[in-house]
Amino acid sequence: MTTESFCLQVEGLKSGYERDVPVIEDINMRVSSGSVTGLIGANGAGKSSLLKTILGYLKPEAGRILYEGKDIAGLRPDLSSSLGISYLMEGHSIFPGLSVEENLLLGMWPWRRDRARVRLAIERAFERAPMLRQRRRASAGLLSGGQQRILELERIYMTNPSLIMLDEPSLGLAPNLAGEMFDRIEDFRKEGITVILIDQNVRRVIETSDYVYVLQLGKIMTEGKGEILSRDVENIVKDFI
Amino acid sequence: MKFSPIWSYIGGLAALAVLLVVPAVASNNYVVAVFTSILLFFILAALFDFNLGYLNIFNFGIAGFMALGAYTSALLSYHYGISPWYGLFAGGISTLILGFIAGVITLRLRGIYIGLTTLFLAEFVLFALSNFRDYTRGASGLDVSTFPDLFGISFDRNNPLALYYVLVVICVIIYSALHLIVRSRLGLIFRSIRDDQLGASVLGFDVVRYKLINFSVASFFIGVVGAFYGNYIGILVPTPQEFGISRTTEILTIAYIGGRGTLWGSLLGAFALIGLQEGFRIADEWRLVLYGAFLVFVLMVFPQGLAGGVKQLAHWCQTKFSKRARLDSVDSNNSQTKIRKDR
Amino acid sequence: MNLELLTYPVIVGQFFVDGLGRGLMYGLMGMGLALIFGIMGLINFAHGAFFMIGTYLMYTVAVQLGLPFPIGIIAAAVGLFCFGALLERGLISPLRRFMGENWLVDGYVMTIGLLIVLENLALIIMGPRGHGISSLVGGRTSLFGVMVTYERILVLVAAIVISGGLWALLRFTNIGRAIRATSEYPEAAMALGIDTRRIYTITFALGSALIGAVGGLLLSTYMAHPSIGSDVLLKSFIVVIVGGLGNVWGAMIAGILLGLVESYAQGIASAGWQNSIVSAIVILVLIFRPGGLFTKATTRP
Repeated sequence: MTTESFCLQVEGLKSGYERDVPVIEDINMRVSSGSVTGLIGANGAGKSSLLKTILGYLKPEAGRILYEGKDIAGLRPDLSSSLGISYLMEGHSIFPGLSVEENLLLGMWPWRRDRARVRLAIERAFERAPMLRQRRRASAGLLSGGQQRILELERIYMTNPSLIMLDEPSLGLAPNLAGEMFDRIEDFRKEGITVILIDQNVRRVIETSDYVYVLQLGKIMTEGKGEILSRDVENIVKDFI
Repeated sequence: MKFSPIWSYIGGLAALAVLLVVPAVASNNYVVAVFTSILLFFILAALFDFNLGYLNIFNFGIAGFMALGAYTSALLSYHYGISPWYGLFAGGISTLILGFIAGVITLRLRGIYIGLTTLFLAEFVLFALSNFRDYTRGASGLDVSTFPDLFGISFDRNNPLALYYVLVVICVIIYSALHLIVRSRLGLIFRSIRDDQLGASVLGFDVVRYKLINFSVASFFIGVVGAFYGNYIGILVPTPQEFGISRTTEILTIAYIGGRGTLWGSLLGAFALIGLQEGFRIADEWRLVLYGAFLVFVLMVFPQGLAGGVKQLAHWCQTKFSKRARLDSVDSNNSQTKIRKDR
Repeated sequence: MNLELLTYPVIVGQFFVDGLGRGLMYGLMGMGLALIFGIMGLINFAHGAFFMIGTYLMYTVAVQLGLPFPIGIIAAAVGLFCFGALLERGLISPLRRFMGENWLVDGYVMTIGLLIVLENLALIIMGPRGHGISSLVGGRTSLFGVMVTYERILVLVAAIVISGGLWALLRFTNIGRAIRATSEYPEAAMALGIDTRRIYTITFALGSALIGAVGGLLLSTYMAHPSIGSDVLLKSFIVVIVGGLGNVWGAMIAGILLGLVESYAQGIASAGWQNSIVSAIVILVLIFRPGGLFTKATTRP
């Protein structure tokens, strides 16, 4: 298999918040294009830090990050996101003082000069989520948790990304909304978008993913194809509960 | 970084020796004046650091506080004939009260708001001093007599050495007090509040009380120094140049350059800056440019200040020349790697 | 205290007009400081020094070169924009990265150093004499018996233009949105492709340009002199504390209030007391409403 069929490849990655105190170490990952890859592990295992390192919030101490063949290790988040990587952070990431429409406008920041394109993307977002159109002028901070999550999703989807990284997308959502979240991830896969997914809903992550990495204390403990792991789902879930 | 307290005693004694001997030997009024200046800035910067370095309280009005102390003593002497020796104490008390009030006002405030409040309190004091012109003589200047003879020693301004030694005594007393407090349990509590106020209060420490103690103690001493300053300089005017923001910034610069969070750093800072300025015969405006540039430089490159530099030097010396220290440091390195492997 | 004066409507009106005039000046001064603090969390102590540079630029362009005064104001704005941008890129940004979390608590100390350097360099380079002009626009008119100089009207117009321009910039332009977003949540802004370092540079430059332009505008009231910045800094602090530290519009309103208070206090009580009254007000605000009188939602701690 050539490297081009891998959307993302991570080799020997090591990074942390302070010197000599690595939070993730020796990480090797291969993410095929169009696949859904899950990251699971206990709190503090380093899953979020891994995503943050990939996008560039953390500078790696060692290792490479190959995105579509190019090494992006250490690239600042604003630059790496313009390459087609969308990132849904853990927790809330909307701008509460700005309106819903302004939040969406900022979603198209790299294309801000092309007004027609921006308009079109926003129209399409409104079509997919009419609720947002109704509240377009309202402050984003006034939306409910679930509505804010929809806004965030639209914001990262409207840019036509090749890779979407989601950190706990179902956090704080009611079970039915969480279910819709995973349905949306299925839709992503159908469209050929590569997805990396972290979620506390371990069972669903294993069910949805094509491939899963299990992290513990900053290192990859196990990895495998979804179906194989499904059989051991009970064991793995027991480990983390 | 552990090194025996012997070094701090030796350092302290050496500094004291220099301060006592050099001006006497030089028998030159200029040298005495320079040393007086150094001491004044040192002790004010140390007091500033006592608030800032140990409790993150930024007393941006320190110069104004000093003015209150100076004027209290001077006015008591001018209008009521009270001896400046008692004036020192009186100046301390009045400033203590101001400091206490300031402490109470700023209790619920954080960070920069404390600084701004003290700034405006100081401005208020200054404006009040200027407005009560009839009483304080305002901008025309209040004449302050020097200390009356004590034990047969004259404190005439033509003989500044005597005044200088008074200041040395004052500084030794103040510095010892600060040093003792900082080294004591009280100092430990201060630092724990500085690092984690919420945590400290959860542990049961009455944060309010400790902040007030810290601020009041510092204010008292600032007032004493202010009172001395009035007697030393001979004439008081409530202008910004004397007691305003620029004076405060000089003091804070010395505290930062010396090394914040270390009281003795201020002595290094004062020696360095004032020594530099006098040593190179630098003109007044350039002196301040230097201050500002040094401040920026220290912040960017050497946040620990001169004191930090000295500590590092001492540590380097110790590991180089003491076999025991070298073994100690090797041992601790080993134990560090052990811990990491277990992760 | 001469309260009788208040029974004459013309005098009340005169105090009002003078107070409004002063207040607009103070509001304009405070806006740049509030902007920089609101977006970047930095209290720029060199704010007054930037004003001073603005007055010098204005003097050079409008008086020494004799160009029309709007060009002078633009020159001051542009000059300070570039200067601010260089400063941010070269000194403030590296220091912010170096200091990490300590930045919010200690960052302003660097601006204090900057203030000292700038003021004293000005003293060395430009000399201790002040340079001023009598007015940008001459003449006066009468409004219901109250005297209003054309200069005051100019300041009013300028205040409207500058405030309106700033508002429009923040509300309607892409860069304005990006600035607001960065002030609320820099990490999220970065994830969307916004270069937050550039945003900080632009914001600082914008705040600097603002105070520079104000310096140029007020050359007739505050002449070009090395130490003119201290008074401006103090007034800006007052305005920004009362209006709310990050609140740009609060600063303008607070400025107007301050101007009115000063005007009436000076008129009724003897001179010098208005400073004490104002300081007392500020202290009261700090005690009871440290967030400022006009803040609904603070963007920065």
